[in-house]
Amino acid sequence: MEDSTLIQACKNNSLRAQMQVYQLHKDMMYNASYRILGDSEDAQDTVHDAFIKAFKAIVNVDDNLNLGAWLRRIVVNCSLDFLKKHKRIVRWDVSIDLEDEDETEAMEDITLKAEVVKRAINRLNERSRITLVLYLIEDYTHKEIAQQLGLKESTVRNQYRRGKMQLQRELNIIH
Amino acid sequence: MSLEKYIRQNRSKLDDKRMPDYRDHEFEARLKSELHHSAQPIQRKRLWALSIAATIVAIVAVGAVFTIDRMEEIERRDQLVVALGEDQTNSTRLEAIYEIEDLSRRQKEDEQILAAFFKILKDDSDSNSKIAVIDALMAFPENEAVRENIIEALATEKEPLVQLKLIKSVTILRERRAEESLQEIINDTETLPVVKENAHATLAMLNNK
Repeated sequence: MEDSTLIQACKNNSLRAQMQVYQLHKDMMYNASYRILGDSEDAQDTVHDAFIKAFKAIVNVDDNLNLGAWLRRIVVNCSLDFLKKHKRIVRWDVSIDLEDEDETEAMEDITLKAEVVKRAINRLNERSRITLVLYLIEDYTHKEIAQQLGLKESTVRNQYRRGKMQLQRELNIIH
Repeated sequence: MSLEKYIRQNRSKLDDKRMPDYRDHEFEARLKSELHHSAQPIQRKRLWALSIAATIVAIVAVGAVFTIDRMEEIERRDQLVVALGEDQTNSTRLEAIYEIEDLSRRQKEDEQILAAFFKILKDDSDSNSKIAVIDALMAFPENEAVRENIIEALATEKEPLVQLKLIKSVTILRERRAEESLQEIINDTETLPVVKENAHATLAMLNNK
């Protein structure tokens, strides 16, 4: 069934269509939430919350909407809400600003494997992991991350730079 | 290849976790409980709309005086304006917006409700509420305040889904005063490509008008 047909059926509150959407997108949403929350149970609960929120709001979306992208945005926002609700963001602002530096990364010639990168991301501290995941994987801008987390944009930029350096160290790209 | 580029190009390969099957059953039970029982919002909204329709028919049938009807409308209007307030949960606000949208098909726009809608459009951070408000406002395409507030929102909104909704709205309204804001959206380096494409299309349509 096409996305537009599924969306239309969900607008009519069809349980069958809603479960089909759930089956199609649950793993993608689980991975997105897990990368942010770092906890399986919390991520699974958040995915359920996100689907319920989505099905309640779906009456307002266009039938031609990219359903996967829309659901992904919702689960990321729900995951960030979870972090805020459990006060896991509160101490970010005390970080010391790094010197402003060029954003562009040197084009180092690296050979990597996805599994290795995934493990390295999961080893990062929470601040670095969240910032890197939102910026590199979920395509949020620094400004959007700052707005979502209630932080200053400069704090997010600095945290991103730290996170990237930490990840490069984990992957032995820099020492 | 840089590390950033590698991650961006291989993000789908990072998805290897699967939701456990037992959570599917839990979700289906929750879905039935929250969206498919009589207490669920969509059905409640329909019941409420039906009860209002039945009330209106009954009043007309017995020739009840206009003032009673009007007082009930004002009382309900006041309840809905409260339900749109900042201190309410997103779901409460959404239900109120949906109810107003239903009622607006039969009634003339109410200034207090419009003011509450405009406030949500300007201040509220919840995208779902904003999108629902835009839908409700589009029931009054001839209202100048509605048109102006949609144009103003387009100039300031940064959330992509809401931006898309606003672009669609100015397209329907054929509102040439939105051209400057559309151009700014196109020029903004942080605007998502899909939003830019829609802004381009609407701008072209308005220019050919």
